[in-house]
Amino acid sequence: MDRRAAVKRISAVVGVAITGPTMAGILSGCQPTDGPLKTLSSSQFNVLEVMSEHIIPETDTPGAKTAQVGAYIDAMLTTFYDAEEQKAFLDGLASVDAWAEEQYGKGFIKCDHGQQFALLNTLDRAAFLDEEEKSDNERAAHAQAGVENSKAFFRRLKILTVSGFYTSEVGATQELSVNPSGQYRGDVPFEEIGRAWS
Amino acid sequence: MKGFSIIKKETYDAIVVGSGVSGGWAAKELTEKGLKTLLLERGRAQEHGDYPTQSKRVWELPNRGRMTPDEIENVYPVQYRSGAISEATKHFHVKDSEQPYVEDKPFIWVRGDQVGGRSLIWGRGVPRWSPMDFEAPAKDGMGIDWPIRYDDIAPWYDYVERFIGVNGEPMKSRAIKDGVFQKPMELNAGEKYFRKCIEDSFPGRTMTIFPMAILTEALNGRPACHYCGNCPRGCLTGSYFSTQSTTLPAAQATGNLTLRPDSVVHSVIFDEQTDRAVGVRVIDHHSKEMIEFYSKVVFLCASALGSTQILLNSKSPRFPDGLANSSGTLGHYLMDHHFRVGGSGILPGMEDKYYIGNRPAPTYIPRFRNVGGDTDRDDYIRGFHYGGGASRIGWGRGSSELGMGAELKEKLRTPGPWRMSINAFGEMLPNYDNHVYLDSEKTDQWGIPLLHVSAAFGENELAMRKDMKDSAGEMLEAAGATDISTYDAISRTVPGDAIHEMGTARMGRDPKDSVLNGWNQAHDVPNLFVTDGACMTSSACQNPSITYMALTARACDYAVESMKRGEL
Repeated sequence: MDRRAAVKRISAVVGVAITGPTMAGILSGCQPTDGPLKTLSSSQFNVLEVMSEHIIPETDTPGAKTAQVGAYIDAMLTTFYDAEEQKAFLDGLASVDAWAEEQYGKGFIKCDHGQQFALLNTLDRAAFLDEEEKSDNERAAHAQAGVENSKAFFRRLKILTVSGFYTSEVGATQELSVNPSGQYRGDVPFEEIGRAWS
Repeated sequence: MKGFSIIKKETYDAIVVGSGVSGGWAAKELTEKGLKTLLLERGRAQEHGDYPTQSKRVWELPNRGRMTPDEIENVYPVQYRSGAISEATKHFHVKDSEQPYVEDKPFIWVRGDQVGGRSLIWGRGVPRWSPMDFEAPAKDGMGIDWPIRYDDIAPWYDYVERFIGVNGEPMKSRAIKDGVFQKPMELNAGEKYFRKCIEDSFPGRTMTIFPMAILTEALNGRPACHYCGNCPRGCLTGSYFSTQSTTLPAAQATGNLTLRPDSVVHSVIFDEQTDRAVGVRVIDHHSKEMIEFYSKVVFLCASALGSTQILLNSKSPRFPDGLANSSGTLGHYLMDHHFRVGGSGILPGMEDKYYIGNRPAPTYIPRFRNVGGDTDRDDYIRGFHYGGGASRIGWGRGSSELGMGAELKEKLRTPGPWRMSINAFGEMLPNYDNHVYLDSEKTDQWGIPLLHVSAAFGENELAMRKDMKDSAGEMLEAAGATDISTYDAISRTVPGDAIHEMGTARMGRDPKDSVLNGWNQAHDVPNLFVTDGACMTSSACQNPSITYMALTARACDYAVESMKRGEL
């Protein structure tokens, strides 16, 4: 797929105005490396790695951590985000910590697995569930400052995690399949293939 | 040229300037007819098969396909605006930072910078023109009459298609001419459904596969497409038409070709005594030396604006405003196609259907407006066609929908619904005010005056766009699509964006209002031919490259026959 088609297709899928960094988040990133972090501190890196593993966990295939999504996020922030965008992202990360402190009396990384998931799941519902499908209680919960402050960050994180995972070798070849060369057939039962192309 | 000593070089029978789609064809035809030919290319050498990113997977590209903000801003600002460049293809594009031009009005000039030119990065769509396209200016009075008709070029379309290999499906349309087709690439399940809906709801309309210069059957030692999906990175097997895969090997096989990359043509040398071009002046890309090469005939195939820039810079007492410009039309009537308008929607059902392989061809809805009878509009003239395609929405939806964890992962293992999108390309009328000219002072690093470009879309294009958008919505509705969104991104597009720039040295019957005659031969200079997009009198809405190829082969035949008769 050429770039223009890729951009169009992805624009359509995402269905929102695509900003520079968002687009970058979908199409790009750096190869996972074991090199030093360029933008994230090691504690920020650790938190983001845990968060992205909650979004795409290890199941019968590896998850975001094995796909080195943390390194991808660091590379993305470094190459494609300007200073202001970096700051907004990292402020958002800090605000999740502050909100966790409020909820559970400890920072995000100190919360147990269930608490961490609950925090992120609340952000996911706040960010992506239609307002009319929310109960009054949930709507009230989403109006809390902790949620409000972290919602935009979570949207970014989800894009970075999903794009970083599915464009990685692990995500593209182990979780999904690479659409192969050698033949083209336009009308094939899905069950013959059984898995979406990466 | 300040400080340049001119080196006089050898003499050839023919010089061809530019090695892209048109120049490769000129080199092949002239050498096969026995002419010792010099093929000049301003860009670097590019061997067939030396395509470094061709087989890379997305995770093997340092930025997973993306251009960095730094290169976009500092190296490729214009190329990037077109959307036609990526991390995997940037080495085939000119570095804008090194080769500037001046946008009097916004104009995107996408340029290749290597042997093969844009034949390595083109879209490969090759629908023929039809009789109505050559007749339109005479009929509606917008522009001058073409000096040729469809029947003049038809045998040359056949000739070109047989050599390059074109796959497509006969359309049997009254308005659109079929080519000599290899077997078509299959429509996918979503597209088959959409085609049926269109045909049922709109008599006279259809959707087929886009005719493409890509093999589906082996031809002349070139294997059929292997559906890797990486065409814009160069084709290792030569299964799509490029200069490298197709015309250059044929020219080289004759033993009559001399290929010289890194050769920036400065101007055509004109002899006032004989009224003939006698050669070209080249500035070596690296040494910046000026070298003169001589020949009996000169073919300019340097791209529409490239050829015109050379002519404008070829000044003499007889032609103070550019060679072969007695009409004063050189540089004028610049056209492109206008696009970034259309629509998309979700097709119902078919969730048990999928596809295998990366088909390098979009779908094609041939022009259905202003083709006679009840298709005629009173709000605009000429017409448009659609490219498009259906596919199942992929993993990207996961970043914008509700869901986390194992559940999200599980959901994305199955493709999303079928999404059909159709995107229109429309004809742009010729307009004297859309023009290019040379800067009076500023030059590039080779001492060549910078080209100014001043062009804008006109009222007819804007009126047509409304229909291009509405018709897309209407067809999507007829297919029962949901979540239909139609768009007209006129604010995000400018001339040049479609990379189909045409005109500025147009063909015509009258030397007073055109630069070239019906044989792509300069009215004023009989042994000078221009066979790239510069020659176009009108633009139609079809992708133009196949027409350049056919016109080039036809002009070469005429030139050689004329030489034999001693007329050039």
